[in-house]
Amino acid sequence: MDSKELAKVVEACKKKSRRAKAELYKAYAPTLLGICLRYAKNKSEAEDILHEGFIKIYTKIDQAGKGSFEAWMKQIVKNEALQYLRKRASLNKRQDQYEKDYLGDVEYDEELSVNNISSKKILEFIQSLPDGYRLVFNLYVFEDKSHKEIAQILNITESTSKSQYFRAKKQLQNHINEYRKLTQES
Amino acid sequence: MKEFDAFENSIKESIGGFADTKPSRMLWVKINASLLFAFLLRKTSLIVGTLSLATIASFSLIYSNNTTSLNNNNAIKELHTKTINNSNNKTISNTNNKDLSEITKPSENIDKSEISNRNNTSITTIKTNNTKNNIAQINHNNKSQNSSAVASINKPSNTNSTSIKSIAATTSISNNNRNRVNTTYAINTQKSSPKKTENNNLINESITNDRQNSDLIPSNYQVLRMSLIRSTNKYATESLMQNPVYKITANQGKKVYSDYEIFMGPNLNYSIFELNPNNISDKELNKSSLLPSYHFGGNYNLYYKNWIIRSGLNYSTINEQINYTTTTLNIDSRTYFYTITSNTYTWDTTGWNTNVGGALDSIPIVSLGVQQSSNQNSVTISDSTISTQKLQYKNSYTSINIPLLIGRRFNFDRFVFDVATGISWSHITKFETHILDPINGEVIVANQDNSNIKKDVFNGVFSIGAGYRLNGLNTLFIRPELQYNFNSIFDKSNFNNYKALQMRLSIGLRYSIK
Repeated sequence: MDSKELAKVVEACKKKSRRAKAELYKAYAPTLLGICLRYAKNKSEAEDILHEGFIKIYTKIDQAGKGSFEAWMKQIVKNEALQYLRKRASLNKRQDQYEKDYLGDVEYDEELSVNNISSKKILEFIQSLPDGYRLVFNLYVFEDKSHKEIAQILNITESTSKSQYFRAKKQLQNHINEYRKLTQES
Repeated sequence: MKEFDAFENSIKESIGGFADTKPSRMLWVKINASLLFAFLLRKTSLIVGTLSLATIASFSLIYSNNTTSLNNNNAIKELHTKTINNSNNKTISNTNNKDLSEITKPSENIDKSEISNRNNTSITTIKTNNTKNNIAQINHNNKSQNSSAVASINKPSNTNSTSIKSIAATTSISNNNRNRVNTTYAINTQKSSPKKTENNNLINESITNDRQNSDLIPSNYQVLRMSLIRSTNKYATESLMQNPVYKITANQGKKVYSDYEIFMGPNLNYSIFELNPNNISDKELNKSSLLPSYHFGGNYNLYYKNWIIRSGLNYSTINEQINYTTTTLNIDSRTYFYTITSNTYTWDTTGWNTNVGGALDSIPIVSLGVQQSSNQNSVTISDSTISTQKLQYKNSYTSINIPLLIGRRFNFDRFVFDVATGISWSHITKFETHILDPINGEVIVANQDNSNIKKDVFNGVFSIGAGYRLNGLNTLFIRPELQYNFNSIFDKSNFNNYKALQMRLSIGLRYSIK
């Protein structure tokens, strides 16, 4: 959907046009779901986040700024994902502790490449990370946030952000290596 | 600028453009459902909120109205049984006495304070601080032999003049099961006093009614005497007025009272009927037609406090148009005859010919025969068609009705609302109707000679009314009413049920009996 077309659709959405809402959904749901999938554990969770995101997009569409509408939608979905994960934050504390112990012996390889593994599989590995790791990893790698910014967003210390990020990478590499072993054996 | 290592970069590249997963179909349905739910919730909240506010406002109005309204008999009674907590923003008008065309108007700041046990005397003082009309109403219920009411008006300190239009005070005193009801009204003090504060004190001096009754409601009100004492300074007072200013007729304090009403208006009739399935199962009645009709009559209302018993006599007409559709199934059949002829061929060997050469030593000698037989059969083919016939007919009845209803009345100053329900008996005096012949489905006329109609029908009645008091005696009212037959009008051999739902709108005049 080009920018002119998008502007028309947005205007129609502001006038409560159902057809325009459907068009907007059709055009952007896959992209936004891609973002949600990075933050969620699975597709079902990602769709829950996207559901909340679209409700917010439709109800707050009048408040959209003059900048890029697509960026505004993406920001809303990311915020929804953060909120979703924050709600579950307390549940994951125990799991984080377990992961900390479990990853003690794993070494991080800076040169490890994932070229021969499908994007879908990589996404699955990211989804399998504990919430805290996944959140920091997403914000750092895909949203280009610094550890200082992540610390502010998640209300954690900068060093916690760094350590979570490092552990996330280690765990990802661990999954990748195990996956490679399995595929080679088979 | 951040620098990513090779691993981070490869992850970023791999996932960065990942958007090939389509959302499930149910997600869009869920989003739509949530949006609809949110919309409904908003609307419902708005409606519920508005209704709640309206209900609270109505109840507040009912409550406060009961305590301050002076323009009808019941309100007067209630004045003496309830305590005014706040008499702000109430319109009180008097229609029975020319001396008091309008007693009071909202006093915006009435401050009620009570001083008791001073020389065994209860004194209630109500002070107000405004330039409008004021009313003070005080109810005592104590053992003190001496009670008095003082209503005073103080000029606002921040204005140069005061224009006090009226002041009214009423006291209701009950002690040792003896009631004294004192009502005093003073009006038109209209003072302009630019610089000094002026107190106009209205003191009620007379006792209007003493009686041995625990009820505070007086049987009547009589002419009152009163004084208006103007305090110009700390020591001197001056009597400005001493006149009887208000009188309420003797009957107006009654608990039980009554009125007559006459009314007329249009009706709309809607017949509800169920066909007898055994007789006319393949027939259909369309009951969509509404024809106007009318009614007029009179009622007598008997009131006990605000409860109503209503009865009377009214004449009513019912007109209705019914569309009748009959369908018939026609079956057309044809029989075809056909003949099957069969030939039977026979082959008999009669001998052998040995005079043949070559490799064969003999060949058979055969005799051929043909036998023919025929068989006639038939087949029947049926074809069905449905024919529809539409008929239209009108029914009209006239009836005399006697209702017996109970209800409740609600007063809002000059407006009176009522709700009533009960039964009515209808005697059908004249009818020109049509019914369906159960045997052949034709429409036949039903009249006095060919009567399948019941002449007496009982109805359930529900009505709500709104009235406006034109003066102390007459009220103009409008009353929508629903009337539904309890029993079927027609005999059940033709219909399982034939009941009329009548919607009436009455406009009438009610006359109170003194």
